[in-house]
Formats: sequence, C-alpha cells, structure tokens
Amino acid sequence: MSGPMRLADGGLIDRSRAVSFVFDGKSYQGYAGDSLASALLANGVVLFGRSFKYHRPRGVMAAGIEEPSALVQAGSGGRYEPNSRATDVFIYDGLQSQSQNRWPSLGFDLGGLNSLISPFIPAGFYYKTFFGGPKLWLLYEQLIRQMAGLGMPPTKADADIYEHRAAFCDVLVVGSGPAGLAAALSASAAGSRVILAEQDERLGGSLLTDPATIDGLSSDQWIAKARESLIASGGRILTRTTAAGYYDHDLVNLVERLTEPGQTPGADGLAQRLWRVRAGKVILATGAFERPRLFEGNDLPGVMLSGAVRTYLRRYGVRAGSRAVITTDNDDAYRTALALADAGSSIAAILDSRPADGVHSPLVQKAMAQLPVYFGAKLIAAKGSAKGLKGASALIDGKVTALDCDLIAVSGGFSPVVHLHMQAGGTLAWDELSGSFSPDQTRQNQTTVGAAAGVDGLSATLLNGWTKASSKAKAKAAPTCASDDDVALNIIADWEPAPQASLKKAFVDYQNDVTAADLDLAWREGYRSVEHLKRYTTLGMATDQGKTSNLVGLARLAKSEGRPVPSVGLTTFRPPYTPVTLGVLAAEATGAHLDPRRRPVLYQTHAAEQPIWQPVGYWHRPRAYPMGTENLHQAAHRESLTVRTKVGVTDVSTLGKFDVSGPDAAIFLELICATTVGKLAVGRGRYTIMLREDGMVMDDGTVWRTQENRFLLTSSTGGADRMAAHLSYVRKVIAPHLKVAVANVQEHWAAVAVAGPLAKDVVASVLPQMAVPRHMSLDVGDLAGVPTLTLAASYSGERAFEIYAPSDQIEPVWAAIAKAARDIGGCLYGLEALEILRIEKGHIVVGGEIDGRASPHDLGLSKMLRPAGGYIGHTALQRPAFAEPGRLQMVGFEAVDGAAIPEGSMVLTAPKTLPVGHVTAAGLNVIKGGSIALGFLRDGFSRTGEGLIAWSPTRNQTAKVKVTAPVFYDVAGVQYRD
Amino acid sequence: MTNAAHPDLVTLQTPDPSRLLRFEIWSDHEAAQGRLAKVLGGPLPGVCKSADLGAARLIWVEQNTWLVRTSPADGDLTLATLTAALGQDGSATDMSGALRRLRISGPAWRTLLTIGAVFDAENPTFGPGSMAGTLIAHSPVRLDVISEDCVDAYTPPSYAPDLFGFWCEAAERLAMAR
Repeated sequence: MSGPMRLADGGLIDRSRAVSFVFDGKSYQGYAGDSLASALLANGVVLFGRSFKYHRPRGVMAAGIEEPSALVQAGSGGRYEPNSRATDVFIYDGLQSQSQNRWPSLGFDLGGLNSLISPFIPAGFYYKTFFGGPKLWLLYEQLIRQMAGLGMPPTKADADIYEHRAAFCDVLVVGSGPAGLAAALSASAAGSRVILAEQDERLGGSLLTDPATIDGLSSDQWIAKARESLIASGGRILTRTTAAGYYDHDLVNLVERLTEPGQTPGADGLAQRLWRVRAGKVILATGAFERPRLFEGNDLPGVMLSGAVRTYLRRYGVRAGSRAVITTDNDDAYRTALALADAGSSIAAILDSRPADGVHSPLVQKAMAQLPVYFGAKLIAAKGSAKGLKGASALIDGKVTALDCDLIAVSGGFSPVVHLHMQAGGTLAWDELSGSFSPDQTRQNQTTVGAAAGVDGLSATLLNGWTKASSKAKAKAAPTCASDDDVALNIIADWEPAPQASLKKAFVDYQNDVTAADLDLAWREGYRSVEHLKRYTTLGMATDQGKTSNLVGLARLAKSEGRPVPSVGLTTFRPPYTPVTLGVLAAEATGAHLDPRRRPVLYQTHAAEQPIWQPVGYWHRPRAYPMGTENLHQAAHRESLTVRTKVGVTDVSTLGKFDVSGPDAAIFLELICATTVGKLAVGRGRYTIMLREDGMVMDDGTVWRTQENRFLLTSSTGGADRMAAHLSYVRKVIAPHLKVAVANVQEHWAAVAVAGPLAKDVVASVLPQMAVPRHMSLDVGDLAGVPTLTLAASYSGERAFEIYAPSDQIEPVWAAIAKAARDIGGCLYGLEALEILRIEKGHIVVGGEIDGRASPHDLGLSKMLRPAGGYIGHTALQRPAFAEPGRLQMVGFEAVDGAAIPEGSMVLTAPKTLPVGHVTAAGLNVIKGGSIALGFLRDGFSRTGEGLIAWSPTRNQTAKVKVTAPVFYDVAGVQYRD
Repeated sequence: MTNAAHPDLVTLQTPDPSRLLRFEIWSDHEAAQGRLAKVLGGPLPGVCKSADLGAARLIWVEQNTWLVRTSPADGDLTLATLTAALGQDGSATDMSGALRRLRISGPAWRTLLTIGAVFDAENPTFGPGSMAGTLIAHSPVRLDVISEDCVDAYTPPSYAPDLFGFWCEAAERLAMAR
C-alpha cells in the first residue's frame, strides 16, 4: 500500500486512512493528505505526462501550483476537469485520473515522433511554414487544430453547483506561510476583520516543508494556535482557496475549491465558490517559486526542483530518489541534500555554481563535512528516458565528470510570487545578486510580505509579516523562531549553462517546449522585445503562464541583448493567477438564473392563455396569443387585423411611469421633454420625446397633467431604467433647486390598452359612469370597484385608451375589459401585432429607430421641438453637423416585387455596392397586404420614390423596395381622433 | 412563490401586503421634518437608517426622500397626513404596488445576503435600523434590518419571484451544508 518510495514513517499524511485512486486505468493506493503527485511518486511512478510540442516524457517537477509538466485530466462525464496539476489535486477515494496529450498511451506515444523531427520544427516554425492563400490556410488550420491544445474539453454539461459570495474585511491576507500567519495574527490583534486565504488544504506554507520552532512551539502547534486565535477573534480562514485576480479598489477574487477535480460534492452540491472580497488592505504573503536551471535534458523524469524534493520527503513521506545529484546557486538546496541523506538516499554530488572562496554558512559547512560538495561546478546533462534517470554529467573542477544518479534536485534561486502585486498595478525592483524581482511601489492599499517581498530567513519573515500588517504592531511582540531554523538563501544567481551543454535540449519553458536554443534563435531573427519573443516562441503561455520559466527566459534574452535583465522588460501579469473553471465564473448565473425573468403583474393571467412569450430585456411579455393551430405569423396577423377592424386588448403594464409632482413639476418636465408640455391643461396629455445631452433621442412617451402640480410621465418599457436614472440625474445634479418630486411608479401602476374602431364602446361599457375621454385627454373612474385612470392615447393608429389601475388590483380590470372586447368580436393582442401596427403607423421605438444615433431631425420630428429650447439636448442640437447632407434619415420602404423585406437588412442602390441605409423594422401591411418597413436612408427625406435593394447576407434574402414616407396607414390621422 | 423554512438557520416569508408611501422634501427641510416628526410620532430616520414610528415603519431611501410602510387600513389616512404635513415643502406618492416585501429571518440571514451579492451584509454595524440599496442576483433590492434576527427586503414585484426562488435555493444549500 505504501509504495516503493514511501518512507516508513513521517510526513503530514494520515497513514490510518488509505485512499484508492486510478491513474491511466491502473489502481493505486495512497493516504489521506496525499497529492496525486505524491501518491504516484510513492508508488514508483515517474512518468506523468507528455510535453505539448515534442511529446517528450515528463515527470513531476514541482510540488505546488507552479508545476508545468504533470498535467492530468480528473473525473469523468459532467464532473471532469482537464489540465489539472497532479501537484494540486488531493487524492480521494474513487479519483479517476488520466494523463493527457498522448496517443495511444503514455508509455508509447506516437506523438513522440515530433521529438525526432525537432530540428525542423523550432520556435516559430509555423510562421515560416504555413504560407499561401486563404484557402490553403483552411487546410493548415485543420492540421494545427489537430495538434493544438493540451487536455480534452468536457463533453457533458457540468453536474455541479457553483456560488458567488460577497465578503468584506479590513485586512485580507493571501497566503498562510510564516509571513502570512504572522500578518494575520498582527492584524487580528489590532482589531481588524481578517480574511486569510490559503490555496493549500493546510495552513503553514513553507513550514509544512521546513518545520521550525516558533515562540517555543513546534510549527504544527504554532499553526494550530494561530488558527484558533484568528477564528476566536472573528476572522475567516479559507483553505483550498486561491486569490485568482486583484482588481481596482482592492477587489480580490478568491476561488475556493470545496471539492477536488472530479469529486462528487457534499449534500449542498457545491463544488466551488468565488469570493469577491473587498478589502480595506491586502497583504500578499504568496511566497516564492524556485527556478530550474539550464542543462541538457533538464526536463527528464527524475529532474525536480530541490524544494519539491524536500516537500515530498517531509510533507508526504516520499523519497523521490535513492541517489541524488544536487545543482544549486544557493544554500537552500543544502537542506534538501541533508534531508535526503537523513532519509537514506545517497548524495552523488552537490554541484554549487558559487565560487569556493566565499564565506560558507553553517548549513553549507555541515553538508561539506558529510557530503561531496563541489563549488564552481555545473551540471552539463541529465541522461535518462521515460523510465527515469540513468545518470548525469557535470563540469567539476573544469573536467567533465560522469555521475550515477536517479534524481536531480535543482535550485536556480527563487523568484518572489509578484503576480497579484502586479495585477494591482505595482512596480518591481531588481536585485542582481539574487536574480529576482520583488515588489517596489504599490498603487493600491496593498503590501507584500515574506519571501514574496524578497525577505530572507524565517525570523526576518515572521517579523516582516507581523509589522507590515498593522501600524499598531510592535516589533518586540512579533513571533520568533529558533536560531537553528533561521536559514538564509545566500543566492548568487547564475543563469549560464555549462558550455558543454546542448541548448537544444535545455528547456526554459517546460509546458510549451521552449528551449534556450529557441530563445537564441528568436533573438537572432530579430525578436528583441520580450512581448514579441513571448509570442514568437510561446514562452510563458498556457496554463502555467511561465511561473517557472519567465525569469530564466528573460535572463537568456538579456544575455543575448547584452543588457541587464530589468532593461529587457516584463510581460504582463494578468488574472487569473492559476486556471479557473468557467463554472465558478458563471456560478448561479446559469439556467433559470442566467438573468432575472421580470414577470408582468398579469403574468399568470397571460400564461393561462398559452401565449408565445417574448423576452424584452429582462421582461417576459406575450408575443402573440395563437388560436388553434395558428403559428406566430398567423396569430399576429389575425390580432392586427382585429385591432384595425374591431378592437384589441393588450397589457402595457411594463411601460415606464413616473409621478412628477410639485410647484416646479412643469419646469422640470420642460427640461426633460423636448416638446411643449408645461402648458398642458389639467386632464390633457401630449406625446413627447426626450433627448440626451448630446441631442440624440433617448426615449419617447407621453406626459399627462393629472393635477395642477402633478404629472404622469410615461416612457418605453425598454428604456424605463435608463429614464429613471436620467430623471434622477437631472433632478439631483442639473436642477436640485426645483421644488419637485419624481417617483418611479412603473410597477405601482398596471395598465391595459384597448385599441380599435370599437375601443370606445369597450371603455364605455366597462366604465359607464365616466364620459369617454377624447384623444389625448384623461379621466378617472371606477371599474369593478377599482379606481382607474383612463388615458386616451394611441400607439396603433386606432382610437385607443390606456386604463391604469394599482397593480395589485389590475386583475379584475383586465378581466372586465378582455370580456367586453371579446363580447363584440375583439381579441387579445401581443407584442408582434403591436409591432406590426406601429410600423404601419410609422411610430418609432427604442432599440429600433431610437438607436442612440438619431436626432429628432433624423427621425422627422423637428416640428415637435419646442422652439424656445431650454430642454436637455437643445444646445447640442444646434451643431452644424446635424444639418449637413449625408445624414441617415428615417423613411419607409415598400416591397415592389412581392418579396418580404428582411428585417435588419442593408439598403443598397445596386448589388455589390456599399450600403446607403438599413431596415430597422419590417412587417406586413395589415389591410392592403404586402411587405413594408421602416429604416434609415442617407438623405432619405429627399429620396421618396427611389428604387433600392434591401439585402440581408446573413439570411440570404433580397427584396426590391421603393422609398416612401414612414407612414403607411391613416396619414391624415382620422382614425384615432374619433 | 416557494418558501424555505429552516427556523434555526434562515426562513423566507412573504408578509401580508402593506401600503408603501414615498415622500420627498424639497424646501425648508428643518421645518418640514419637524412637522412630519410631530404627526408621525418621532424624528425621521437619518441617511441609510430606518425606524418604527408608531404603527408605521419609516425608511430613508435617498436624499430628502423616505418610504413609509403602514397597514392597508391606515394607508389613505397616512397619505393624507403626510401630504398635509409636507405642505408646500414636499409631496407624497402612493408606491404600494411598486415594491414587494420579502422577510428573511433566522441567524443565517446575513450569510444568505452575501450569496450572488455585492453588499457587506456581514458588517456588524449593519444592524437593526439600518437600510441599504444594492443588487442581488441582478435584482434591485432595498434592505431594512428589523432586528438582529430579521431583515426586510424590498424589490419590484416583477423581480420578486426569481429573487425569492434564488434565495430559497441558496437557503436550502446552507441548510444542506450544515
């Protein structure tokens, strides 16, 4: 069960809980607390995957989220995640995992043939290969698509639930290593609301690999005590939670994994949660990534980062090799060598590229006393295959020396994890000696602590975290560690490979198969900018975004340029920090919750009529009420014809409605409306348009004077929210001095429209006590015991009324009107008929003709404008451009060859010419038949009678049309005037 | 609308309808507020605050504007009283149909309000007598904290069924996760 590489004891795994899992169809066992990588290593597995381009065999290189090579697919069906890092998946019973990017199997991968032709497919080969015309590219594209990509995408819908949560805190600490824990404790002690986010399943960070004594406690005890203290003071601790993105105003997105990839969630069904945290202050304690080094075969299974080797050993009780070579430019790798030696592995050599004449730390001196240490030494090549390492060659004392080993532990220094700092808009400072960038200036309320800030040594790290978290923190109260645990790195960065190493197999970016030779080639071909180099070679792309490769690549470019590293620049650090599932980004906004469905108050009443529904923004309104086997077109035509010949009833409750009251109400409305409305008599109404400040029409509606100092303003359904915001802006910003109140009563009032030659009869029958108001007049009444307000206004072109009632009492009003209409041959009508009727009458609508680009002049409404001006948009309307030739002006179109005019089509003077206009809405001439449309035409007002072509390439439809005035019915306006 | 009842965690209810009256003051604020305080039985709540005044609940909604929730029986009288007290310095409008009230009670109401939300419902200073306007699951919501254990949420009726359904599902998840 324990596997050939598992130590008999030790580690932070739970040896009492065996866990069974599957990798590439074979069953294995590990322990609770194992990562997939540690469990496979324990079982003697060294081959984890194949590289992207050359399909080279790859093992595991790291122990954390920076792993570039060991990518697996986890789970199946609707619970499946590709490109999961084996180092970042904790095993569970039943885990199904599979290697990827290989065929037919991991051990025998035909894609490996690419490795044989690698000399012919270096970086950027596709830029030199795939030439030719557009048709040839279609062929290339197929080939490239076949080769591209890593794991397979899921084929089934996600089975799990995801959730978004809002969270606020005084201090957000990202990372729970020694610096992060010290910072969280300090902030908490200062009375702050603290959130601590840790991407691992355990708190502790580097303390899990390198236990220490802190404040007299073992690190396990200190971590447990810190956890208790934070929780007791009301802090929130989120483990398995990664800070994926840092945005403006200290908004940080945290992705919390509640299940491992492919794992069935608990009873609540939640797989992941996205926390949107707004923090007063953010402390980044994100640690540092160890860097690989350049030597031939540095990607072979068995070559690992030194710190990872130590993590597998101490955290998971797994010995990654029995005979190791260590290559380093710092002291940290000596800890790995000593730990391996303690665990029974032999150390073939410690190859330290630093000079021998330096002052050696106690740690190095300890290693020198018991292990073969060579200074000024470098690894030349690793030798091995998919089955593991067979040895290595090194440059020791100027001689090429063969070494026997099955493990190479590499430490090329450490790069602070500055991703979130950079996402927050920070800058970096370069340290030449350690070869690293660390945070410099910050542009948000954020600070970086510990190894992420380039702080070296445990005691300094604890002090740094403690003091940076709170201005109240006193240094003497900071946690302290035992002196033996205070190990400095003493890095002397050395980017140069041994001269004998072949750079064609010295990998910089393991995930994208970018070698040092590729980078040199790109530079020789003129790619001097780091951004160009990245795109030419794919350095730093894909799922790991160059976490282990970027700085090594930069250093290589800097060498070619003969410039210092900082001067060659940096690529951009973009969110997400690690890959994020689409599921957690969408969260609840799927299915029924994709967006809210706004239901009109009469929704259930309409539903009983089984209408065809139409989404209008968030609203769902009846589009038509089909009878029998009618389709939409047939139903809408019948409904339109009934309105034209008898009477129709429709629900207009969703219209925007605003109660405007006060002694200055008329003055306020004359600011809002571009027509004359202030002089309306009580009981009268008027059609109006509202302009934006730039003079464009933003909406239309009606204004009714219900009392001397009270008006009802209506606007379109689609523009209601925008109009509410506009009114609020004008009230509070432009005219705060006015004595006026504006209340949004859109949903307080519901309304039923009655239209048609018999509409007056319907109103008279349901409101017998009230004199039927004449056009653009209003009256109050009582219908079925409900107080009503009847407005005589027409949108259809027929005599029409809108009967308003409080929305919670509209049901009997609707029922009475619908019955009265049906009793005399009328019907209900929906949005489709409404659209047909308004097109025929040439009435404009928001989203159609009111498209944000049309002025009142363009819409033929100039005569309505108040001559005295004073309304919003009036000043901008004086711009000469509004009167210049060439403007798109609203016209009508009539089909001349019997074909239907395609809605949204372009209008051309002749085939294959540039469009001179477009169709905004098309419909049927209800009485006469034939296709009609509204639209815009360049200089359209002067082109009446011209023959044109309406062409819709997307629908592959064409119709010959004649330009007309935009009114097709009752031009004189007799019908609606009684 | 469905309901979620987990009294030890969170319960969602749609209370009986009430009258909602909006009033706005545009001039002589101090005098107008004084007259209103006299007829309502106490001072108007300040910015982002709410208060019980006699049988009515007063909620600040925006600059110089408040909402009064009262019983259907008292609605007309309250509207008339408000109109009289406001005089020439403001006006009142019946908004009863414009907002639907949902009541969320139980110890987990704050947690529920963080789901699909952008507002700091867990802030301890957001206690009884506090109000806030926010968006939850794309729906406009005004929150009025009634007590440590209870909050009223007001949303336009057209949004209410979906929002209520959203909260019911979230409440069930909270219950399942216990």
